[in-house]
Amino acid sequence: MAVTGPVLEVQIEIPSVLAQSLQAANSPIPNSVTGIALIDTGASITSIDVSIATRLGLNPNGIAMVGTAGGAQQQPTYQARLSFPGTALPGFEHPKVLGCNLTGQMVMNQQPIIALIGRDYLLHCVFVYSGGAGAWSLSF
Amino acid sequence: MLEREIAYYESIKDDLIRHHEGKFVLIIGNEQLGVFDKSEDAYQRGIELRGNVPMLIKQVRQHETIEMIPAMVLGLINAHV
Repeated sequence: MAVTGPVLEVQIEIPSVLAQSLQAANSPIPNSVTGIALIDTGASITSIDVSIATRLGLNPNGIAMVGTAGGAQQQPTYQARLSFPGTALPGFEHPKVLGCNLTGQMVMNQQPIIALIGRDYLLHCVFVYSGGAGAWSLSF
Repeated sequence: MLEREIAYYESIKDDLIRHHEGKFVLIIGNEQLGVFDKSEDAYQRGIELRGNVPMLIKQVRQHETIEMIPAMVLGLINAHV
C-alpha cells in the first residue's frame, strides 16, 4: 500500500437524469467506464480523467478554477455518477467533478488511474489510513 | 470552453449577487434559464430544456473558490523517492 496508496475500483456513469433523457429519446446510453480511483486527501474536489467524460458523451456543466504554480486555471466540470463495485460504499451522483488530465498515471499492474476521490466525497466518510498495518478503510 | 456563457455570467453577475447570492444559476448561450437552490436541479432543468449540451451552472458568489489538487497539478501522483 505504501507504493500504490489507497486505491479502489471505480465505475463512472452518466448522470441518471441524462440516462432518462436519452432513454426517452430512444438514444443509446453509453456504457459505464471502470478503472482505478486514488483517494487523494490533498484534493479539494473529486476529479475524473477528461477522456472518460468524452467517452461517456458528457458535456461540461460548468468550470472550476484550479490552483496551479502559474496561477488559477479554468477546467471543465461535469455531473457524473461514481460507484465502487465490489464494496459496500454507496455510489454518488456528483454534481461537479473536475475533468483533468490523468494520462499516464498508473498503479497496480499498470492499470490507469481514472479518478481522484477528493475531500468533497471524504467529508461524508471516516477514512482511516493505517500505514504500519498496510491497510486503509472507508466507512459512512 | 463555455466562453459565451462565462461572458454572459460576468455581464449579469452584479445583479445576480444582489438578488441570488449562494444560489446556482443556469446559463446556456446568452440565456439565463433559471436560478436554483441546488446544482443538480439546475442540471436537470438544463437537460429538460436543451438536452445534453454544454451549460454553465455557477454558484453565485462575490469571490471565486480555488480548487486545489496538488498531487495532480504537480505531477506527483506516482512520485517515489
